[in-house]
Amino acid sequence: MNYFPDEVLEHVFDFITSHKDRNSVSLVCKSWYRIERYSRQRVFIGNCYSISPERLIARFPGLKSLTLKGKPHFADFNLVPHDWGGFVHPWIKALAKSRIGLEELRLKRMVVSDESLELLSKTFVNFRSLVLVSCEGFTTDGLAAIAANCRFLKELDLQENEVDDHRGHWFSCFPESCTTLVSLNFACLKGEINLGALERLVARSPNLKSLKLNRAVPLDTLQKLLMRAPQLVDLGTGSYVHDPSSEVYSKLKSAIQRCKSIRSLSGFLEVAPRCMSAIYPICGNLTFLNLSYAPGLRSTMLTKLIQHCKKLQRLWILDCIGDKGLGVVASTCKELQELRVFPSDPFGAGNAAVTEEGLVLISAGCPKLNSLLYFCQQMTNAALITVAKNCPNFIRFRLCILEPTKPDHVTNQPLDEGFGAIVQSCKGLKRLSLSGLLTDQVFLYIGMYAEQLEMLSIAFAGDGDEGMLYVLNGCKKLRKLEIRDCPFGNAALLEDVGKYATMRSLWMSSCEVTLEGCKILAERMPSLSVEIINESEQTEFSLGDRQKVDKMYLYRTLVGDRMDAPEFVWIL
Amino acid sequence: MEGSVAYENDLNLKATELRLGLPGTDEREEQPVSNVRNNKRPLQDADDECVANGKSVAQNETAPPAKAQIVGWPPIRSYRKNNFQAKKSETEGPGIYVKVSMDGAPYLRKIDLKVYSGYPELLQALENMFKFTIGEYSKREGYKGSDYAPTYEDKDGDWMLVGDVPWEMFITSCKRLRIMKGSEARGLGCGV
Repeated sequence: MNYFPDEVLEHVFDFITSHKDRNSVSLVCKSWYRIERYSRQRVFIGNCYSISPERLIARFPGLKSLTLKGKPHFADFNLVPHDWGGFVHPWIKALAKSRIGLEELRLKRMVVSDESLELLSKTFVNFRSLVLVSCEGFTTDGLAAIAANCRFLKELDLQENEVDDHRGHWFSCFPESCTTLVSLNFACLKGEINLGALERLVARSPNLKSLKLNRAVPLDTLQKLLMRAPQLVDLGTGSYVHDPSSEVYSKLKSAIQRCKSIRSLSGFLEVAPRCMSAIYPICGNLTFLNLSYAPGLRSTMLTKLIQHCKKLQRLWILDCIGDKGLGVVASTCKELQELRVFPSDPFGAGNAAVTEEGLVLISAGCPKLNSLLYFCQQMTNAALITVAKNCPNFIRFRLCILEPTKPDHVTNQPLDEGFGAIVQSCKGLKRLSLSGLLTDQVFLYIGMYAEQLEMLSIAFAGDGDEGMLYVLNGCKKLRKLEIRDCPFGNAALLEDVGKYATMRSLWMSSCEVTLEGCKILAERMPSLSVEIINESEQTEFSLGDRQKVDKMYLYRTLVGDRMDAPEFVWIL
Repeated sequence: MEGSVAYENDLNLKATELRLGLPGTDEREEQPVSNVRNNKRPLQDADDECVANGKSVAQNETAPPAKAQIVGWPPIRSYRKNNFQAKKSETEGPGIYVKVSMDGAPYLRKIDLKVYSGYPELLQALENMFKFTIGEYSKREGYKGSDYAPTYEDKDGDWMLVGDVPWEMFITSCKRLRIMKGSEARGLGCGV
């Protein structure tokens, strides 16, 4: 190892792209650490509070691409108050002051301001790629700055963000000289956009491969865009409503037929079911189909469509497809790897749209299935055991039975055995979300069998501390644990405090943990930041030690407690 | 917990349940629960309480209310949830089935108004169903050029001419349809 000049090692390291592997490489010896850090271009930071921008910049001067995640996962479900944190501005400020030539920024669950976007766009001349997922805090003014100033912009990908739409002409801010776009996704914007500017932009972007429109883009514009960009690989329609007997619609049909490269289709935010037949010609090429935002499509239409999609690998759909519809998926989509079934009526009267039957059919027909997100009304152990047998390759298994603590609807037993079968069979399982009626037994199984498990989400489950302990002691690779409404308390929390230093984070809300328990933990583990999120009127002083903590979020950090915590967050 | 599961079955134990509440009230469905801490050990408690014996207060503690909303549950991203709220009126849901009678026809039919996106589609469907033609609609004169006029009974019990109000308003207020024939129809068509 010591006989190779640095350049050779650097060249070898170029082939090592995974973050985990590069991290391992840097730990081998001092010279490898040095070479690795100078050659590293892409950095992933799973918790923005675990490290500071200054230290990042100091270690990786060659940084070009940064991925940051902010709020804990349960923030997606409104469990984290609005101003909790996750601000990207300090990062952009620090990077702007440095000599880093940032080209790519990917953010998830962070607060992004227009000021940040403007600073970003004006500072980094080679900036190419902005991906924002589940972020908030910015408006279309910030997007205007990105459009106007990033001369070599390749990618602007906005996924499910809460954007304040000022309905300004941000779209018109892309200069005529901007011809480098490869990916443009503005589906989450709610306002009108300048359709003419959109058409012109697409016309002068020969490399455009991915285009996802928002609701304000009507079908006739879609037709014009497709005529300009038949090379598209990934398309998200906006409003898909028109009179099927019109000329515009027949023009659309021929435009779509020319798009032989489309592999990924989504959108249909507004849809006229009778217009779906225009899509049939390209269905045979699709590998990803996302109809989860199209409640206007009934089961019969969905199944008709899916029957054409023989090469589908990923399907995101609403539960109105029904068990029978899933049966059609199972018999058609033999290449299916990922399935997500979302509830079309989350608080509904329980018109059971999908049940355990649909899941069993899928497992029987799609042996390559490795990733599942399934919202359903009911489940049985028998079904889960069958699924486990049919699909031993699950990497992600997330099951959400809509009614909390619902048992096996046939036997009235807890679902311990079913989930136990899943973890026992799926040796590569990395992510698991549980639901339904569950006792400590399921955690015993998880601790015993889920050797590769990295992320576990638990709600309304377990009998006592033992349950949590089985998991903490058994799952050696556990990185993220999030728990709500479970009877786990201080004994479980404090049994092995060192464990948390091997994990990214732990979330516990509405459990039995008390303030005293959290204080003890914080004292024993100074390398952790233990946050109490307290939304009640009480101040930290009136909260007694014996009192149960409503929400606790702890994470390992190299830079101590954060300075930007709001009043209701108390860092122990 | 078993109690609330039984409610969903065909046994309809709910009807024979002894409760402390007034008949006709159902506390469970009205109370939104923002903190389900007290629901934490449903299994053990539910074993002790028999459904038929259930005191409504205890039911609240052991079983999450069927329709009440628990904060952050089900675990769906707010973005996605908001999308559905906005589209509630557009979505399937249960259909709006209304009876359709035609003067002179031996039996009535039923149609789901939600299937149609507007008046033209609806009228076309009626024409196909009963094998007749409707005629041209105009705001001034109603349906001209045919012996028939499509009418509907609204929420107030009045018989109205189909087509006067916006479609969305129509499908929410329409109770039943009647295709009027002959002189009665012509009477409706003239401005009265």
